[in-house]
Amino acid sequence: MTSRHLYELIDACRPSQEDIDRPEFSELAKELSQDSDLRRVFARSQEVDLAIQKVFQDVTPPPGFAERLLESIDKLETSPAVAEAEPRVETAQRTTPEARLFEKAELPVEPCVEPARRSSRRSLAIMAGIASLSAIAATIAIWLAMPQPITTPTDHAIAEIVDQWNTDLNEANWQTAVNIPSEEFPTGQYLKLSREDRWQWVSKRRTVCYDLVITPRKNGEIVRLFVNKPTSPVSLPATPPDGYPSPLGWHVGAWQANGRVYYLAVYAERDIKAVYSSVVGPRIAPA
Amino acid sequence: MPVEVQPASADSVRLRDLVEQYYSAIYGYAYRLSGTVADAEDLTQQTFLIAHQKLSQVREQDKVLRWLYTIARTCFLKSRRRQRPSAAANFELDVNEIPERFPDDSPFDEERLQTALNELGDEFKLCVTMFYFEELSYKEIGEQLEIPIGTVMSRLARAKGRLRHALVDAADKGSRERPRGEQATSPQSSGESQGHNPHTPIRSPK
Repeated sequence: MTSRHLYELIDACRPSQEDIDRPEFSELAKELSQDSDLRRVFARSQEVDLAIQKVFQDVTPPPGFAERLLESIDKLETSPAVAEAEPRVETAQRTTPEARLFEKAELPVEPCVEPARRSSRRSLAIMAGIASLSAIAATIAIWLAMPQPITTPTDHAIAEIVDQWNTDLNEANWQTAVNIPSEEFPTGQYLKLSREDRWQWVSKRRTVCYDLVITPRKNGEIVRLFVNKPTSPVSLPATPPDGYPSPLGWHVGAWQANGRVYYLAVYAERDIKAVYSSVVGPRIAPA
Repeated sequence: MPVEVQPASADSVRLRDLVEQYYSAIYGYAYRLSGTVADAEDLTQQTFLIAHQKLSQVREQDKVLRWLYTIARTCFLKSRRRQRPSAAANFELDVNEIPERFPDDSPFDEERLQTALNELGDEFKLCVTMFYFEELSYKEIGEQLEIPIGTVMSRLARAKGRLRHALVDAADKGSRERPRGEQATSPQSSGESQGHNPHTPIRSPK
């Protein structure tokens, strides 16, 4: 068992819950029985956890909050129309284990209709439907055969795309820079990934995000290169531009090369533009 | 957060009863997640509004609090239109940061904890709040969030590492700033009997 896994197990043990006696912690229990240093780490971890938990749970509502809350609840209870107007709980929540605490209030109603007999009128309707579908298919085929117009995305549009991708990233989905889809989504001529860099899919596998490690990271720097396979031709410069700020506070720039569109997103607590330039120069497009 | 659950029949459940019994726990949970008093109040109110709509469907009284926590969590996630960017490798798991012992008069307070918590990404904050506040096991957290338990363990370890780092730094500063006469003197609590500073990191195992 690796040290990292041991530490994760230690961190997963709740303070004062006897978790260590549970079967899922048997590996850790065995290691603890053999390693006095580890026992010390475990004891300290539990002690610190207990101290943190105590502070964590020590939250006092502001004075008068209970009264304000109850007042608004009273209004609710005496006014059913208000409750009706409130937004409903998301359906996604109802799929969670909590949702199973509740009855299925709204079971789908099965259609209670006898199958209709096929009449000549129905046949005509079916034929008309088929004809319509054929016409739609032909229109789509013609549209696809036509040359696609080249679009030139605005700086704002690019910044919004990058913000959306950054928001969609999931911490759990990062992969190490070993199995990178580098042939389909090359990082570019000059950028060489290091072992610490990582990547993940975004936008339904049409884009790869490469998360580049910057050392030392004294300024909270985050550098992400999104490589996108465009669905229609775009007009962008062939080299990284100076960049511009995005609504969510990143400094972004986009360019295209070899049929791929590259979006560089840089975040820093200070001098973000300088950080962006320092990344572009040595790592993305060296002179 | 453990709260005594009062048994009640489904018919007798009223929103007012729920509010009176659980508002403090839900507010605390909301505050830890949202980080501000105003947002916590809004989140608490929103939680009970949604609970009001679903009240008639409550069947298992002993799990109402957990249900309310889930509503609060869902409301919180929906309210987060923009995520804080979190860096690739800024959550280092480092057992060396576990201090020898926090002195009894622990110099870190809830405000300091909240500051550290606010700096975590939402996915880390959720895990650590469910761990410390709801006192859920990592398996239960995985079930609730519908994520693999390996992911939960990794997030917990990183988030706790980050909190420890922030709190221990603060504790170190606090103990340095305190006049000598106020230092913990009990050998048991100070670790002086072993000849080292109570906040000296311990050596990690091989």
